[in-house]
Amino acid sequence: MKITIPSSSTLMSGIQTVLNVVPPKTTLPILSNMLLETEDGHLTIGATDLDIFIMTKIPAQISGEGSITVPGRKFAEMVRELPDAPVDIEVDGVKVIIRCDRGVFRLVGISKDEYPALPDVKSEQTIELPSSSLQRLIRKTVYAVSKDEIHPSLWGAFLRIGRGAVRMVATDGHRLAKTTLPCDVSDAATEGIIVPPKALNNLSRLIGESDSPSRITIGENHVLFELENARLFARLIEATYPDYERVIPTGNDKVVKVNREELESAVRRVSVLSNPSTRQIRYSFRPGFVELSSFSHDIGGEAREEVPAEYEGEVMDTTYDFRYLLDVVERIESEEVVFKLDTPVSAGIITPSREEAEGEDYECLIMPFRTTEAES
Amino acid sequence: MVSVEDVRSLRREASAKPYEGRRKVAIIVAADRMNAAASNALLKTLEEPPGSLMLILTASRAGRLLPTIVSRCQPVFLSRLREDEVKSALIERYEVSPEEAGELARRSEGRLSEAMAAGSERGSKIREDAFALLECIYNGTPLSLFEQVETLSASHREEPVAEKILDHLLSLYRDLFVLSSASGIPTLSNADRTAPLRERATGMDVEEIEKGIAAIEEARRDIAHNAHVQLALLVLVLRLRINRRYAGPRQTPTTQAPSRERPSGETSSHSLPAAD
Repeated sequence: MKITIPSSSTLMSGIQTVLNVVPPKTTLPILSNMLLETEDGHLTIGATDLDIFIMTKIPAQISGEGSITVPGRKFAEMVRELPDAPVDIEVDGVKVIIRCDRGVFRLVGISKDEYPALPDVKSEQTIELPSSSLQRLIRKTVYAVSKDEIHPSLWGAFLRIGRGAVRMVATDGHRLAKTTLPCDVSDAATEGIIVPPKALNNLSRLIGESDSPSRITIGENHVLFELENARLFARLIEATYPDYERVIPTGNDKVVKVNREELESAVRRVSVLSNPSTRQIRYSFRPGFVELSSFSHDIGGEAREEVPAEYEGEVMDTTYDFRYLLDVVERIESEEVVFKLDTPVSAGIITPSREEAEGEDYECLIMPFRTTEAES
Repeated sequence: MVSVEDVRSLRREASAKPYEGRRKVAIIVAADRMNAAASNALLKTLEEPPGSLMLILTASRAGRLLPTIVSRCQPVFLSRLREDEVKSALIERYEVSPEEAGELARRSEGRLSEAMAAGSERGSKIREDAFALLECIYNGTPLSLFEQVETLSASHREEPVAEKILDHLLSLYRDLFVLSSASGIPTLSNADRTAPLRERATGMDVEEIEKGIAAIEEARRDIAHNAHVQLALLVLVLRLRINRRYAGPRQTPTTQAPSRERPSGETSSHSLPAAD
C-alpha cells in the first residue's frame, strides 16, 4: 500500500472522526488499532470497540492498494503534530512508514486480517432521512435513556420506522421522551430496535450541523447509519422494549402554558435551595401563574417565585425533580411550554406549544414525587 | 475471583446482540469462587437470559454456589477421567510423548487440566520446587528452609502456587507411605523419583509419614480458609522438620517450638525473628 494524502489536516480530520471509538483500555489489544484501507481513490479509516464501528473516507492519491491497522492513539498523536504538508503513507508487510515534510516516522502495524470484520448488515429496506432530522430525534430523546443496572431493555433508545413516521423513545421509568417525525415509509420495516446511547451520541457528533441526506439500514444484529462522509454501525440491544404507549396518559385535561425562558430561569434560581439529594421543587399551578418553591434543610433557607402562566383550572400542587424538568425545557424550542396535567401524583405531559419542525411531534412525560404535605 | 464489576460488564455484553454469528456463549470459570454480591448481580441474567445467550458456569465445589444460582441452572456433573483416558487425550490432542503422558496422567488424579498444567514448563518447575522443599525439610539448614518458603510465597502472590506445592508434597508423602509399608514393587505417583524416595523412606516410620500427611492437609485447609500463605507454609515445613527430628512417641510439637531447635552440625548463628 502506498498513498499520498494532500494535507495532514485532512488526515487528522479523518482520524478525529473515528478516534472516539478506539477504546482506551481493552481486553482485545487489536481494538486499540485503527484500520487504514484504500478504496476507489480514497483512504478509508475505521475503528471499532465491537459496540460501534465507524468508517470514514478521505481523499488520497493511491499508487498502491492495500490495508493495515496501526496503533490508533499513537497514530493520532503523531499526525496531530505534523506540519501542514502532504503526507505519504507506505506499508510494507506490517511496517508502516509515514513521511511528511522533512520527517520520517515508522510504526509497526498489524494485518487487517486480525481486525474485526465489518458487521454484516443485510436488509431489504433502507430508509432515507435528512441528517438534521436524525439529529433532532437524538437530541430530544437520548437524555432520558436509563442509567440503571436493572433493566437492559431501557439501556438504549427505541427507534421505530414505519407507518409514515420515524420515532425515537427513551425512558428510565421516571420520565419518558418521545419524538416523532414524518418519513415516507409506509409499511413498518421492523418492530423497532433498541440502540445504545453511546452509538447515538457518536452519531450526533458525526452529524454536527450537517443537513445532507442520511440512510438507515436495520440488520439482524446491527443498525447502519450512512452519513455524507462516515458510516456508523451500532450493535443493537437484545430485549423487548416496554409498551410505552400504555403509560402515556390521554385524559390529562389541565392545560398550563408558560413562557419557556421565564420558566427555565425561575427553575434554575429556585433549584439552588432545593434538597440536593431529591432535587425536588414544588409547583403550584394557579389561575394566571405557577408558583415554584423549594426549601433546604441543610441551610434552613427557602425559595419562592411566581411565573405568569395561562391557566384556568382549579389549583393543583405537584412536585418534580428539577433536573428532569430542565432536561425537557432545555430541549424545547418554542416560546412557550405546555403542561398537560391530571392529578398531583400522576404523570405530567410536557410539550412545545407549537410544531417545532415540519410534522414533528415531541412529547415528554415526568412522574411527580409522592410527597406528604409536611415534606413538600 | 469473579467480581461484581465483572458480572456487570457481562450483563452489558449479554444485553447486546451478537457481533457476528447467531449466538453468544459466556463461560464463568470457577463460579463457586464468586462472592455473594457478584452472584446476586448475575441472578437476573441467569433468570432471563437474552435469546442468543448461553451461560456456562463451571464449579469444582457445587455446594459453594448459592442455591438461587443452582436452581436457575441445568446441572451437568462431570466426573473425573480414568488414567488411561487422560493419557490418551494427552497423546492425541496435545502431542505429548506416551512416556510423559503416562507420568502426567498418573499424577493428575483424573483431571486433564491438571495434567496439562503439570506438563507445562511452569508445572514441572512447581513440581521441582516441591521436591526441593522436601529435600530441604530433611537435609537443609533452617535458613535455607525459610528462604524457600519466602520464595514460594512471593511467587504465590502472582499465581496460586501454594496449593499446587501442597498437592505435590502430599503425593510425595503418599509415595513415601507406600514405600515404607507395602512390600513388592509398589506403583508410585512419582515413579521417576523412585530412587531418592526409596532412600528417604528408609528410616521413616509409618507414624512419621501419617503425621506429615495430617500436617499437609491441615495447611491446605488453612490456606483454603484464607490463612496467610507464608505463615501457613512456614508452620507446615517446621512441623515436618520437627516431626523428622523427634519422630517417635512424642506429642506433635506446637508451632512455637521450632526456634529452640538447633540441629547439631549447623553453625548458623542467625536469629530468625519469624520463628519466635
